[in-house]
Amino acid sequence: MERTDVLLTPELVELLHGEVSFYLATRDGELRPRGSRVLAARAAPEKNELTIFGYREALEQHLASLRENGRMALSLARPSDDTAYQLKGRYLRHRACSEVDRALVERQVAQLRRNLESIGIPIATFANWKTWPSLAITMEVEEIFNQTPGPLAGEVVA
Amino acid sequence: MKLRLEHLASCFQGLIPATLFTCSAEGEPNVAYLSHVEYVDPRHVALSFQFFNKSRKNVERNPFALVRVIDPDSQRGYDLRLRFARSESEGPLFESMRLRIEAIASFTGLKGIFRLRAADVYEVLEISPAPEEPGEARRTKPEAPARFSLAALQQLVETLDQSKTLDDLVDGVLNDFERLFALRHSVFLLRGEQEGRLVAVATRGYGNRGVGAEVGHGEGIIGMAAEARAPIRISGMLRQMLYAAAVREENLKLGHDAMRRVPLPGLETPQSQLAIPLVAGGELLGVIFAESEEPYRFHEQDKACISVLGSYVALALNSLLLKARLEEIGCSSQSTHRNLRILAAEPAEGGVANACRMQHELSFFRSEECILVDGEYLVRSLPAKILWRLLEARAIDGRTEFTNRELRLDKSLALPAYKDNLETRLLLLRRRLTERCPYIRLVPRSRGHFRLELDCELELVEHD
Repeated sequence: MERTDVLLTPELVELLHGEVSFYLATRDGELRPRGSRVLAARAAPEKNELTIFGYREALEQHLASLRENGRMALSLARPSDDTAYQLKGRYLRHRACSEVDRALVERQVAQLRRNLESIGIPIATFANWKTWPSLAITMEVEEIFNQTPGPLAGEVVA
Repeated sequence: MKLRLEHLASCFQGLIPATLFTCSAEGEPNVAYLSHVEYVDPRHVALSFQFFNKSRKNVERNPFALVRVIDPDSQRGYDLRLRFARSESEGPLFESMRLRIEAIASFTGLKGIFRLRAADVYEVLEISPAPEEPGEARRTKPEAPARFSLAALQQLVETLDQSKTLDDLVDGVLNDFERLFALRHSVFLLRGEQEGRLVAVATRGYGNRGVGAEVGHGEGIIGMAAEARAPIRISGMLRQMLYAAAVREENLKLGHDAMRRVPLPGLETPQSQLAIPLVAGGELLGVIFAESEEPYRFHEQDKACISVLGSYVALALNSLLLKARLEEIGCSSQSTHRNLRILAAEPAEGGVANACRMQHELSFFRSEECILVDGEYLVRSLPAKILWRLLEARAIDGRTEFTNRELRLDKSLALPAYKDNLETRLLLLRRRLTERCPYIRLVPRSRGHFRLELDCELELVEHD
């Protein structure tokens, strides 16, 4: 049944667009999981949609699975205080990235690197991440879970 | 070259968190973060089962998983395709992982909440590089030679062999930690007066602070190493956050009697920490603690050397303590009487002339067994009682020479008949005086004999 309530709150959207580390999880037809780092995200909260951006060679590996079963999970975590969530939902579409997307990706990666540097991890440590060319994958968010380490990890928040 | 698990040893030091991907039996993928992936053998790794219930439920019904690990040296990412093999809730693997987790958790006051439920062992089916995290093709700096080498250990053993007193041994070990292992920040703790507590008798790298600080068994990495009687190594830049917060929290908790307690010194942003328990004959004698601002300072290959180092120091320490005790028992009453007859109250050798001496007030709070000098905390418990006794004897009888034996026989000090730790208490007292009141000195004369020297005028005030 289609959800009509808005899951992506303003606070969560701010986090999604900020200094966070992302990982995408999918699975193939034999239920074997696959994972990749994601570099940036843009939310369309009115539609409960989220577009993620990542290195094309890495994210392309997920497309066959996404076309086959559509299931995807995205984790996000802010390194400086371990605030973390997991979003689960279904694949909608994907596309190649434009130069506008590139600027967005580089901006958000720079934000994450600054956050990592604030806790003692030097920017040079992650300077070699592959960020371009990128691929954009859009999902419909269906559930959101708390993933901040502690006894409440795993609880549904939306 | 085919990737092998042994090539990724640095990925398993807990320096950079790993990521676990699983899938439910219904086909729902899941992502969770891991603080640590443990290397088991060339074909297996272990993950800690603590919180991520969803991941655990997934692998119980669908055994396939994937872990992304990052090499802290090259920043290269690797994907390990796994299949769940078994779960261990006891045994050496479980204990090793439990110690590490509880050492970290105890700093945040979350011991018991972050506890390890089981070590989940996985077979590694395939290793592949992560395309988006290629890292560096080659290391940018040459690999540092292993510091915990057999050659360095041999030199440490020579230092131990040359140590004739507890002071020699404690100072020699910490000096060698800096000279041989480039560890500039360290603490030597010995068994405390109270059961289950350790007391710092020497520190390096913290600006002459920390002597007298106490740590309970189970508290932090030092206490955990003492409790488990096993060395603990922790690497990881993220850990510093936990430690910094926990140290602040602990200091706040102790604030109500901070004047009567000595805080344990520590680096503000440690990147690596090591605690080595000193166990001889099944008995815990102390712990050596070292930390560094260098990440990933203690490598997997250091493990055996660290363990042997702890054993050697423990044996040397035990030998010195036993020797001191036996020699004292062998002292005849005739020789003790002769020393007392010779002694006379004399000005401190090389000390300040009387006219130039400062005045200080030393207060002994008998009910709290605590000494303050000019209102500042100095020592408590047995070291305080010993110092008061010595100063009383100096003030009333003019005595300056004393023996360990007479302290043992003094019923007012209430030393236990067996394993009284008197040498440790005297060492602590000497170190605290050096740190806080250098104008009061207990100068060893020969084994079991020492002289009280003063470079000041002291007003002694006793409170109930």
